Amino acid sequence: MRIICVSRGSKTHGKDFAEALAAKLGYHCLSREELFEEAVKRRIPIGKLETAIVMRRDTSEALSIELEHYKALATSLLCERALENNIVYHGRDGHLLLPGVGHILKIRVVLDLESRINLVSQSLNLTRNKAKQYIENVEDDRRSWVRKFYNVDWDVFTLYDMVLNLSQMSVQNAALAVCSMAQLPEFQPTPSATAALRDLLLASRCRLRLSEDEKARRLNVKVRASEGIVHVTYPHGAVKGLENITTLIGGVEGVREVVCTAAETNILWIQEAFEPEGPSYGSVMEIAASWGAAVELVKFTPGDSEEVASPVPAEAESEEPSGWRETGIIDDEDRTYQDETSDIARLYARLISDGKAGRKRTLQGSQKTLLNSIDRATSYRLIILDGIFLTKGTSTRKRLVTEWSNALSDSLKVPVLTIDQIVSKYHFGPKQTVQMIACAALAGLSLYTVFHFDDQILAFLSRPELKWRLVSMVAITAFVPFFAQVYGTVTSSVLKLFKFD
Amino acid sequence: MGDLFIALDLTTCFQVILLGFIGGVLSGFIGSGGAFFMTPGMMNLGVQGVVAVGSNITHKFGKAMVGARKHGEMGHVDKKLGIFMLVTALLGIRLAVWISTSLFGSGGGHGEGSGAAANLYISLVFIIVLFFVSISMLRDSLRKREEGDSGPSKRIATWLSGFRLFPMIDFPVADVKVSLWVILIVGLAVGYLAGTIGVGGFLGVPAMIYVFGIPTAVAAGTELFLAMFMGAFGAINYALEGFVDIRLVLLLYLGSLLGVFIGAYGTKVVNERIIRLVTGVIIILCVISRAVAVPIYLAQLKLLVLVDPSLYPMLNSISKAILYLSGLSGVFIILFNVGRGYIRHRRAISSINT
Amino acid sequence: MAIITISRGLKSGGEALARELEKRLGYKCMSREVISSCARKYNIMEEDLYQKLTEAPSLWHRMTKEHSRYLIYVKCALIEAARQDKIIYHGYAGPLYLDGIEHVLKVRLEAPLDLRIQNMVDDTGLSREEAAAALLKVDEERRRWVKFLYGKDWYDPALYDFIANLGNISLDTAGEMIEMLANSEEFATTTRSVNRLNDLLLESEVLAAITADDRIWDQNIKVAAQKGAVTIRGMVKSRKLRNLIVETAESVKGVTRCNTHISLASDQLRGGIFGHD
Repeated sequence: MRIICVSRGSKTHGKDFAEALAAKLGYHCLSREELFEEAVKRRIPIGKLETAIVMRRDTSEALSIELEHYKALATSLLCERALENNIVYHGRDGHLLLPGVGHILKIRVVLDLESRINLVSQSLNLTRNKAKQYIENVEDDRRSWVRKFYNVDWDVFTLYDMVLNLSQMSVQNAALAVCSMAQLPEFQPTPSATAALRDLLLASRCRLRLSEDEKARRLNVKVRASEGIVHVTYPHGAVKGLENITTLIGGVEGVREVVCTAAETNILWIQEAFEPEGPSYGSVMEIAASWGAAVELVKFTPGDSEEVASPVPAEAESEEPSGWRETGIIDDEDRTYQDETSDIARLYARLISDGKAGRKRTLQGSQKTLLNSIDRATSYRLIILDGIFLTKGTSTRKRLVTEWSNALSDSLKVPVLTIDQIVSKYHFGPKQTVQMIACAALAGLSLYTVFHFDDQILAFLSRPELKWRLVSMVAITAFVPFFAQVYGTVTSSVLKLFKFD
Repeated sequence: MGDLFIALDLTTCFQVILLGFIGGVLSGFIGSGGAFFMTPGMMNLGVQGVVAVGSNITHKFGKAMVGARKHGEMGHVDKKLGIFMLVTALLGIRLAVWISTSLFGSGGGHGEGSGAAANLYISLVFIIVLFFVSISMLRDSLRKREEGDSGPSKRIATWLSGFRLFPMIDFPVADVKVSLWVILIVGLAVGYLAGTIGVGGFLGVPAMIYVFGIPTAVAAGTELFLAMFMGAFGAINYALEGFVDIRLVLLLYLGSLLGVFIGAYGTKVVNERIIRLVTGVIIILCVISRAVAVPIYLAQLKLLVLVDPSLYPMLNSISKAILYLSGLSGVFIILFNVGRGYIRHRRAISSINT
Repeated sequence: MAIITISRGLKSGGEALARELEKRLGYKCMSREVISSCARKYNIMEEDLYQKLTEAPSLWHRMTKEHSRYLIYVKCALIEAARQDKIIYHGYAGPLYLDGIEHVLKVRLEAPLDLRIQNMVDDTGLSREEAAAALLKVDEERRRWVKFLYGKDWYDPALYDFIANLGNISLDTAGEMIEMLANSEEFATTTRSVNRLNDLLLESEVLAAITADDRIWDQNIKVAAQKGAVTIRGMVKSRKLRNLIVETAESVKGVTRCNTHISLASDQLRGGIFGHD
């Protein structure tokens, strides 16, 4: 079950390259066009979807549900094929289709503009300018498709493993070079990758099962799976027809348990060891309740420090890199399935009883493992990263947590906070009350002073001598921002109190 | 002193707070401005035009300081463009302050004539500029319905890029080349308007997008940069001339800081086309309200008597009524939507939590 | 047999990759050496040269005399070095100066920002924020520099033959891949590509000679060479300058013939564009 994904633009020899690669390696070749055909067979209005995205219209809810259906179909087909055989997939979105599966070789194929223009003008019989226009349009459409579907930019090259420019290389030779690379250990399936693939497959099958039911088809629900437990989140409006979901999904092969959670958004909570009875649970729940968010748990044990520190050798070093050692889900069935007394299991049980449960997963490995495991298509409003690197000293731990938070927020564009930061930002406790009262008092005092002595103050401000005018100018430019700041704190605290954010 | 600063009783105080609130909601909602409402509003309360503008700029400056500290980032700023614009805009402000204050001094010196010249002048500039702004805004929001989103038209920019008068200056971040003279003119105009009526961003952003042809994000970022310095400079200038009524500034804050949050929340729940439409209508009503007041100033200057003097109080009330009508109905629409969105959100969450 | 250029952002592991390739292919690694030899050849302080090459364009984007000279000198030196073949160049402006030469394999390294920041922190002892700011600043400066001088987008993938993301693949793997590509027939040194390289060198040397002359350094002209025959196109202000340019070009060693298509600004104003042979 090796997977190579080729992402290509139009007329970049990408298809030829993928086919040559598949032929050389003896892998199965699967293209996005085949996925489209399959979607058409299953009554998913794929043409309509494409037009809507290309025209940049706001997609209606019905259409975004169809989008989910297509995604589920594409994922399930890809996972099925990948679990049976080694595959080469080619399409615009190759590198994004299987989020969280670590060992995929992701290749982007490009060609210089001049050659592409020639190819287009020959095959479509267009003038040079028209051909250029055509390429730019198609490229734009792809960009919006990828943005709509996966919420990332197509042109961010750090999302690929490598980019090949076929302007000068022949398709055959490029394929040959990649062939040998595909054999390297870092692209071989790991237990964690297989598990992630199975989770994706299960979730997408469940989603497809819902799409086959007349009633459930219209529900805007998100389905995710982990270790046989299927999580269904639905927004507030979709409560009707919910009873159905459990029965429908329960019938899918491989489902051990179905958990339904009503949620508008998600919070991801990453910690090495959880304290199910600790005070942090309450703080997190407070936000989750005010946002209507489901809480997804990741129990994450970082790999050894060497792996964490510097995978790319610094400029000065010339020694061998440590390389990535992929470790993954602790694939010890007895432990993950049966340890009902573990911290994460108890916390999870609490979340279920409060109706806020998202997924729960246990991971181990490097920063890259963690980054790869987070699904970019799920909307997270907040990531909580706290209490990892428990074996390290306090200052080291603090530094590492900051580093990882930065990496996470850089990569996912979601705020990453520790529990303490959450409390100070969202919690309205005694400290905030004191601050608010103090600021209100200051503002009140300022107002009282100004209005009580208004005659004197105004007289002072309008003195004609330059000296006094300068003094009043300085006074005004200092006092006004001060008042704005103080009073601004009061208003924002009041609004926070009413959860108006 | 009685000439310059009005006496404040409780009703007037309340009205100023209300003005601040409406202006705040509008500015949070549109993303910039609010001055177009607060300046005429204060003038209707009897505040001298110069004082209204001066207090308004000071108010804006304080808000910008807090805002800039809160965001802590300027995003896409073409600093080179910003500096060029800023230098000319500061000249423009200086010019505007000079014109306003000298007109204020020239208006007969005492009695009702004092300040009328400045009032008239400020009102006229206000009417002309905002009339065009609102018309283009309304046209934009109505046209958007038929066509798809086609991005800003580059027609003016292309036409102007033919205007290659030496020296051309290259702006690396925005990736455009503009003649120095064009920048000087636009900067001067932006500064002049900011100084005269306290409205700068309305002109600066579209000018940068349409005239220079720079990307919208860069235009907005550069405008933020400009606004902070221009606000500070305007505030310093008016304060130096003694035309800032600190009481009015504080009262404006009482309303506006609350309003800004609510207005900003509104953008999340209200469709963008409606935002433009509402704004356009509000601005045009502001323009009409100011236009109604013009005959009073004309007569005070003994230039022209258009209507029977006995009708002046009525004209003033009509002007005030139109202004409040526009502001209140705009705010009502926004608040209604905000409230609905807020309640829907809370209900959704409580239904989830139960 | 090929020439490999490596481009990357600061602290992306470019030097390590160059060493790795040196070991695998037995090519010669070069970076600063090109600049040193350039400094020696044209009698410039090396530090001065290096600084001019790396500093950001001034606020006014004006090219000074020194600036344009140094740039063309470095180009000459780089092409001169490239003629040795079997080199790995991981210094300044590789893919830009060796554009259009078929046996040049243009490699770019990408690394996730946080890893680069970490490397920067480890090497310099800066705080994370400082390191991040410094990196972003250098990236932006480079991008602007490349855009300004060469009219190309530093991030355009079509500028490179192969981009490796060191966040996802190991240095070893990237090295192996590059080794295979460098040994493939597409990047083999051929008579044609060597000829092109020699032409490129002659073009740059003529341009260097013209730029070295205070009277004509800033003229807007283009030089093309083919086997010793040089063609100069452009527009200058006066007949005198035109003759001076032709003289200078003809004096360069290796120039056998000089065709000029230089029009005079005054002619163009009158409506005629004339060339003369």
